[in-house]
Amino acid sequence: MNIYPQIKPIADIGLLIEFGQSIDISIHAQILAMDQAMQDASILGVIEMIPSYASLYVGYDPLIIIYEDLVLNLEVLILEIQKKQIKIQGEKNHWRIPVCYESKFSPDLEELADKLDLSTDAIVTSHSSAIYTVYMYGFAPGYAYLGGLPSKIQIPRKSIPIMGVKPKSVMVAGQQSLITTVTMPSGWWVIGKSGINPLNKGLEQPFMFGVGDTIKFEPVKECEFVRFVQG
Amino acid sequence: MAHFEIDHAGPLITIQDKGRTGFMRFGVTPSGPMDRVAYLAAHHALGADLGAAIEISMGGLSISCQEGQVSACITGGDFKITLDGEILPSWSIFTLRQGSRLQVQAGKWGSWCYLVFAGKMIVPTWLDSASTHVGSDLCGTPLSVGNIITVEDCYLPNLMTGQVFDPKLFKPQSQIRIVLGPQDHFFTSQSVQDLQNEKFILTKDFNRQGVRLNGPKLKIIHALDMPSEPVGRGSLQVPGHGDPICLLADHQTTGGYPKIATVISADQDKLSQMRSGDKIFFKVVSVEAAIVAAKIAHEVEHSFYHIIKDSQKSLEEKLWNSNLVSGIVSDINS
Repeated sequence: MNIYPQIKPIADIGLLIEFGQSIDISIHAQILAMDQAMQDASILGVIEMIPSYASLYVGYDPLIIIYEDLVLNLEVLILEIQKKQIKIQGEKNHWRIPVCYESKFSPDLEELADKLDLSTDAIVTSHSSAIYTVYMYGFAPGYAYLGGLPSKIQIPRKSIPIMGVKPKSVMVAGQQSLITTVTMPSGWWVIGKSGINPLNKGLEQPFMFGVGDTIKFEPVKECEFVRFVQG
Repeated sequence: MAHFEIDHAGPLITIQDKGRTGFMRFGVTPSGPMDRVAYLAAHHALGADLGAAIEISMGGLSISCQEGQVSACITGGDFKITLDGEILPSWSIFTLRQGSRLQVQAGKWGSWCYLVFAGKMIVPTWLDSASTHVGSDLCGTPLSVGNIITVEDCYLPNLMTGQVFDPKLFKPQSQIRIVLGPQDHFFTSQSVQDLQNEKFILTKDFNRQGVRLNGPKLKIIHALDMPSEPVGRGSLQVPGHGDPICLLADHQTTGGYPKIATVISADQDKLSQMRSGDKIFFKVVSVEAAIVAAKIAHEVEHSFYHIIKDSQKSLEEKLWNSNLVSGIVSDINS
């Protein structure tokens, strides 16, 4: 019996709709579908939705919407998305991001190659040949968690985080990759530098990626950090 | 226009307004005041929604007015306010003039207070908010010595200076209400009992992101591999060390640690005003009770804002009928 999705309250501020307990593209597709359905329904009193790996967070104002009504609304939407046979919407973008993997920009590449018993070239080839999906944002503004890292270059994060990892660092840890947007401490492995910062503070829509977008990294030799192509 | 120079600033003193809602899906924490009730009270006391405030930590703040004049109000914890050598009660309205020196220091209780000018503070904004997010520095950084603060459209409201409200009502009590979950089932039943029956102490690990609490260690039943999921303000997340961390205004938007419970919204700001060393007893309530508490808190806050406004009116009338204006009265109708 499928016990998901499950609605779990978070005090009087929100609730989580859990669609599973693992990082899985089919679970994530349901979350994207539910997120879209909720945006279309725009339920009064719902403040925001936050998609993540296995659950969708719904923040609401208890002074505007009654919790039981909200849950009823959500249950109807869940039935609708389940009937529709979920597929990832066509509106998602595919991005090609230039990355320079040269040693100047990849302080952890050598150590990673040692630990994985691979050449640095093999790591770069592997990292830049995969197609990644934006599963969620978290940790810091504009930090998009990208799933789809090839298993042969997966490695747990460092035991001690490094302070002051600069913006545009391309990092890997666990099953994920990520491009940093602001200077933050991090325990992930820095293997390159992106030509663009996915967070552009000056824009009205400062966040380049939508959750569900796909990304491919394009190795660049001379660090032509100027162009990116929206495919 | 008025200009102020910062002569002293403790750590974690930031510009805060109502914060930025709706961007957690992009990793942006809402930020905003640690004590939203006190923040709004200062605006009501000055009679207008004035936008940003300076959130002052226990480290204290000293500013001197280099030019211009403007009224201001301080609300929040019971802080010690000194204006040109004269001690004012906490929760006061006063007027700052060229040469004035204002000192705000930690008082008997409370961790945060709010300085709101009767005017518009010139501050950078991002995503419709001036709130500084400590850590990412995406909208300013904590204030430091030598910074200049500029206030435009200054006014001196027709109000008496002095105390606007006795803040005793807002002194935090040790009981904090929580709703269990969403991962309480990951913990031993003993730990879930301990959370409700034992005392927890706020540690010194306390900043705008959260506060670590110390009490009986909370034990997870089995090693779990939980994908990161969104977290809200008030979440009690428990990393491997077993001490719950209560997430506060600048919390990260997602986390991979299990959350044993969440502090209800009506009690979140009270917890923020507690100090390291203060004790907490958690009381478990239902979601329904938490929602009722939110509604009651909303009503109470509104009556309280009315009381502040009304007391200002009656004081003003009293002043018009009397010449007993002793030193700390603003320039009425200037």
